[in-house]
Amino acid sequence: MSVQRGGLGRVTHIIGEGLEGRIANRHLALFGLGFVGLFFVLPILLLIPESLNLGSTTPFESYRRVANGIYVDAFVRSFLYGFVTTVVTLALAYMLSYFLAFSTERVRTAMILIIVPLWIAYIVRYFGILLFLSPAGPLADLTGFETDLLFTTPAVIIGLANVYLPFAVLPIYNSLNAIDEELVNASRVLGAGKWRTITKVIFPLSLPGLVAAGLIVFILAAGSFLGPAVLGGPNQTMIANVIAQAFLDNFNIQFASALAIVYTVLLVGLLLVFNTLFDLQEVLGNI
Amino acid sequence: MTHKGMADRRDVLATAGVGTLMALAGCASVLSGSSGSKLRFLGFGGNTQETQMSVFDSWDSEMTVEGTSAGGTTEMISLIKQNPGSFDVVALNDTGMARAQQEDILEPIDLSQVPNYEENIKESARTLSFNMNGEDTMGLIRENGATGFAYNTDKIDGELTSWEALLDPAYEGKVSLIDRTIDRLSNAAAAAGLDINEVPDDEEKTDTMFEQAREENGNVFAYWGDGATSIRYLRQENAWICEAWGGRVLALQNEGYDNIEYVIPEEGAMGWSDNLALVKGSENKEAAHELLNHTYQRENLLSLSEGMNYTVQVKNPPSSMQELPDYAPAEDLAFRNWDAVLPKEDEWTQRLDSIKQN
Repeated sequence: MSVQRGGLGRVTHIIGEGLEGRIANRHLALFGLGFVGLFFVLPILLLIPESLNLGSTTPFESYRRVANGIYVDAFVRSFLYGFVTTVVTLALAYMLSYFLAFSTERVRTAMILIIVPLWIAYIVRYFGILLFLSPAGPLADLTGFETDLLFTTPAVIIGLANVYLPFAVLPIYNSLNAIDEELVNASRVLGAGKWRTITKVIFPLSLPGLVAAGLIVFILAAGSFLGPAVLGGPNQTMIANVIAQAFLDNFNIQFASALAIVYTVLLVGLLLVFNTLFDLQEVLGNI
Repeated sequence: MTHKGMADRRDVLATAGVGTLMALAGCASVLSGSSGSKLRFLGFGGNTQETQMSVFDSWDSEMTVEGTSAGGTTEMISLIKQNPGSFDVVALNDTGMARAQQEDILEPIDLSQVPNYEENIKESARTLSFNMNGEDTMGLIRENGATGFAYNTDKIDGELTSWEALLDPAYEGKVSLIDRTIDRLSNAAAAAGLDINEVPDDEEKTDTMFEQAREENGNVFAYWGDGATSIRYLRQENAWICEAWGGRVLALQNEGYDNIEYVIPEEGAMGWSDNLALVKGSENKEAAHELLNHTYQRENLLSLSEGMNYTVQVKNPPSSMQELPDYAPAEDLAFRNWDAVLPKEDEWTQRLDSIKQN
């Protein structure tokens, strides 16, 4: 059967014919790695000279300032919020994924409901929470009750967990869905109750998905800018907000670069620790 | 491999190739730089940009003006530095003027080619320190205002006239202040009876200013970084009292929020201005001067004021301008001396941050 191709289809077909046989998988891998190298690794490396006061007697002045209490607090707060958000998000995501994998036939509909929020800009979702909880918002209008949640730590955690939930659901669901049903049946047949089956069979087998989800959520949450900016107050300032302030408000590129370098080093260090605990290559390979 | 598999792979490769070509084409058009038939204007965006562009649109010239907006002063300066020759005229606030001169990205303006400026703008507004570099005029004042505060009359009984209102325990968790170090401290200094320009060299005054900022922080639930956020806090009743810009509040009142009042406190408030400047490296300097001269025609200046809801320092201002919330003639306003204040910004930011996060 011949297929008529349109203008763009013909062009892509001709280009495809030209490339066929000349591009191997390693070229595709190089393209991806090159992209990451060019737009992530290189900019980060360029920040290093930006962060140093070269030509002066105190080239590490910005790094000395990073060690000041309020900035250390911001680092600690970022990783702490990242950790708490990860715990909350994983708990919610696991329950949701379990329901999807074992308790409903309408997986596709449920998945659409989970994925659709990913299409909506983060800022809109944070603003949604802000407006919903505001004194002149719909919650107060309907119930006459004004919450004191906004501009507090719980508000930031709720916002972050809400935004990053889909990123956790997808790998966990994938892990749960891959569990051989025969193993679950065997556990039941051998006398294990539902709870024992979950804790001794399902949970251990879903750990790769859980670890991957935890990793993704932690990285995203710890570096969050919009969540604390929209839902938090001055006591919820995270490191991304401090970097933005240093760069955008004070035009202090040197200090902003030093903060970014220190944050990147700390994050990579944490990931290395994480890797020694969970062997990420094996975990991610099992998803 | 099946034919289908081969076709899929071929299509993926082809699509990637087309995507790459399209991306490169896009980059090329962005990098192509200046064009001789149009002037490039860089501004703040939003209502201010629209109003400015409408005045540019009425310029009778063979050249057209292409507007680009940026999110703030830093972005503007970065855009200009990273794209030499890509902009001709820029709108900068007073901080931006000081920083842009530090970065050496502005060209002196030849006032003989902009006679409307001298003819229509008050003398007291023409030599503000941040617009001058010795004898050279680096910027032309456009609109100006003050950062006072707005309050919700549904929530607060009585008239507020002083910065003292920020300290009232009845408003705990209901106050929002500006999140820009020098702007915030300028008002804290005013509230403490100080002139911000005299603070940098005086330790005692510095301590007094920060003590005032610390006290005012007591009732704060959040600091806002952009004017839209201040208005959102007022609209959503998150804030009962909010440091704000008069033009923004007037726009809110015009939306029907007549329960929001704007005050320039009796102790005084920080004055600010937006200014027009020529970008260094412009290939269209003569035309840019013509455009500036067009902008400073009296009827265009009045259009700017009406569209932006802020004062333009024209001679003989009409009564409608004098009724604006933060109208003040230039001779009554205290502007920052950025040469004195800007070197302190980092140190003060760190000290103010420790107050805010306490």
